[in-house]
Amino acid sequence: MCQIAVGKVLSASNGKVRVKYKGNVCELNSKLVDLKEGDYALFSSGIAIEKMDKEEAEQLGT
Amino acid sequence: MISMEMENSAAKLLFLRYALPSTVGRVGELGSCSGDVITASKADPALVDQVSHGVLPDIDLRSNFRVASAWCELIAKEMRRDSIDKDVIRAYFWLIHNAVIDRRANLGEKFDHAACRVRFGNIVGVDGEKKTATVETPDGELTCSTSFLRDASKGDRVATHFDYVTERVSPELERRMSSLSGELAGLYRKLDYSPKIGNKRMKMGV
Repeated sequence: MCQIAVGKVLSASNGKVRVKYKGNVCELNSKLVDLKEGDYALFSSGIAIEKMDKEEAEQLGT
Repeated sequence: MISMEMENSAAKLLFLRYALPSTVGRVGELGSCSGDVITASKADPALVDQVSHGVLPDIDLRSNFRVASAWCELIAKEMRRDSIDKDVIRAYFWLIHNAVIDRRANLGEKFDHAACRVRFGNIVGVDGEKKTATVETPDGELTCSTSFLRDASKGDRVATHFDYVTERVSPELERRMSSLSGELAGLYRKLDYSPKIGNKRMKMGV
């Protein structure tokens, strides 16, 4: 089982996104999921794997 | 948003045989691959017992195994499947999951890297009383529960996750997964992965 990590996208370009996660800003691979600024995403080991809405992201603890 | 369903009960049970060993107590709580250095599974015995008898537990797989479910959906789409079937589940646990585990280890994260990987080996002994098997793997001998493979026998080639035998792996199945892994070439390219299947590194041509 992998730990759930959800963050808000701050910026997106060239298959990479900058995401705010637990107060930090991380750069993630977003080649698998189409993301834009303001989206929320589930990520695993530095890779965005699912786009989700704000309500669900908040439930999972952004 | 996840929208794809698992194909049927058999697929769900296969998923659970791989997913349950990495949980701690109730599913949905902190998992053993989540940073804690835990070398033995602490999966809920009641759930293990149900799955070992082919009974599907009354738990929502999607919400309790969110990361694995999301990966399976990405893989199913890449493989152009209508649902998350057994091939997709094995492609996740045998290939992508292991690659992600390796990636985390390479990033310096502290966890039991070997136990978190799905490993392959041959059963060299079975203890019927303890319901365990000794599995010879490239990492050495492992003592694994045979709860999920109750007819495990000496000589069987098996997959393991943590300290559980997850299933028997026939040469045909291994060949099938090797051939199917070509369908994941696009996914690997996006992730810059070099996948391994069984204990052999595969040539992906990417």
